[in-house]
Amino acid sequence: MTATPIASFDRFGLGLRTPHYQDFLTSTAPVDFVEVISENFMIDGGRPRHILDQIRERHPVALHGVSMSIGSADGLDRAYLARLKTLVDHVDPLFVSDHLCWTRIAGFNAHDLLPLPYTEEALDLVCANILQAQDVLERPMLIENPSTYLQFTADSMTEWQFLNAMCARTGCALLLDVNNIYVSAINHGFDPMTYLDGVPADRVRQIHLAGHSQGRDCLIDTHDQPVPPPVWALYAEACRRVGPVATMIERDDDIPPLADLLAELDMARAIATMDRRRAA
Amino acid sequence: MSLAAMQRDFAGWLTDRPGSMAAWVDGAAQAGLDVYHNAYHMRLADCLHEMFEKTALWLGDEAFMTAARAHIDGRPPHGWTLGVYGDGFDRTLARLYPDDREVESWSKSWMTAPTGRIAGGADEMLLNTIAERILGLPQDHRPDKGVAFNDIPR
Repeated sequence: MTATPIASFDRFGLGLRTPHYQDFLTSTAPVDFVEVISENFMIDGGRPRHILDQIRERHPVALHGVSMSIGSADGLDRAYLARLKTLVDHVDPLFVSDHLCWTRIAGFNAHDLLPLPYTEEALDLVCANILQAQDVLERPMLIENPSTYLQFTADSMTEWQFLNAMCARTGCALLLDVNNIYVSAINHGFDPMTYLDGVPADRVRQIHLAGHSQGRDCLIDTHDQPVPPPVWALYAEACRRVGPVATMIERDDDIPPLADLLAELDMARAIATMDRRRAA
Repeated sequence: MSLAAMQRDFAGWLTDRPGSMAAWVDGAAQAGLDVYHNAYHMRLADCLHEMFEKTALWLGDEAFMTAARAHIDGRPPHGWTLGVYGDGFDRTLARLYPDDREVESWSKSWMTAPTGRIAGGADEMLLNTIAERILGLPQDHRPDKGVAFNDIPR
């Protein structure tokens, strides 16, 4: 188990997306940290790294990955891990995170966050993979709860029970995506409050907020609109349980001007501050 | 359950190979399986569309998506980066449109046009093409952009 605990960073950030590069480079955006997709910068030098370096001079950076495939039955990709380690050493990020999912099997890469069954077998495998990744990265990871669109008949525990056991066995922390909880709750018919009560609150180091869309049969985690009222309501409940942790808003499609996202971030600040005042 | 067997079947479901996802999920999961199947195809098609914007304009979106679908079926992605996923799409198009020289030239010209026109400094052109078109980075500082040659201050 990795001994170093992840320091809390009780602030508010945004994801770095291409349409906003200039905004972030030409002025100091009023954000406390910036989250970047690790894979976009896992290359040797060049302009992406140059841009990231300039951003890093202005803001703390969180590295958020989508391709580690922590749930792959055939193990982690060592070359991927080595590249990520190089980036981590260079950036000295606030957090290094990826998702509780799998993306790759037998040389095939789906480029999607695919669901895992919540079984003892999957738990053993995910824990072994997290321990290996933390060993290579020489730091604990944050693992994010995914949005899911199906459940497996073999499931022997809930997602929050799985997260509890995973954190206890690996020393990893959680990136709690409040929108993902909401999307999965609607899709699978559980109470999102039961989920919030079930996650190990003291392990949460970061919260993601986002919007979703109504698909034909399911809610889909599209990140293409503002954070909707039920997700804000769930965020308030999450703040009450986990206390002050880093919060950021994810927007990946129909990306509005930075000012719109900064206004949304002010909403997160207001909700979290209200809760912190109540707690004081 | 064998996790490895389930993941191989799931990959089979995404890539339209007959598999047995029914062994792992019940009927309620069908809608969800469709969501993952659709998302997989759309993500790769969007990736090709972004890389071959001009070819898509020439063909029209519907025909382009048919071609993209053929490419995706024949070439499931292997690496963790999609940066090279468009490699070979020009050959898929040449196969689908053997008599349409325009299609071939549009798909080939995407990367090579800027380098072909100016052979000197072609490496740098290509780096900029990759930076701007694939990685979506901001353009280089170009004070002479849109300015006639004889109006460029010396």
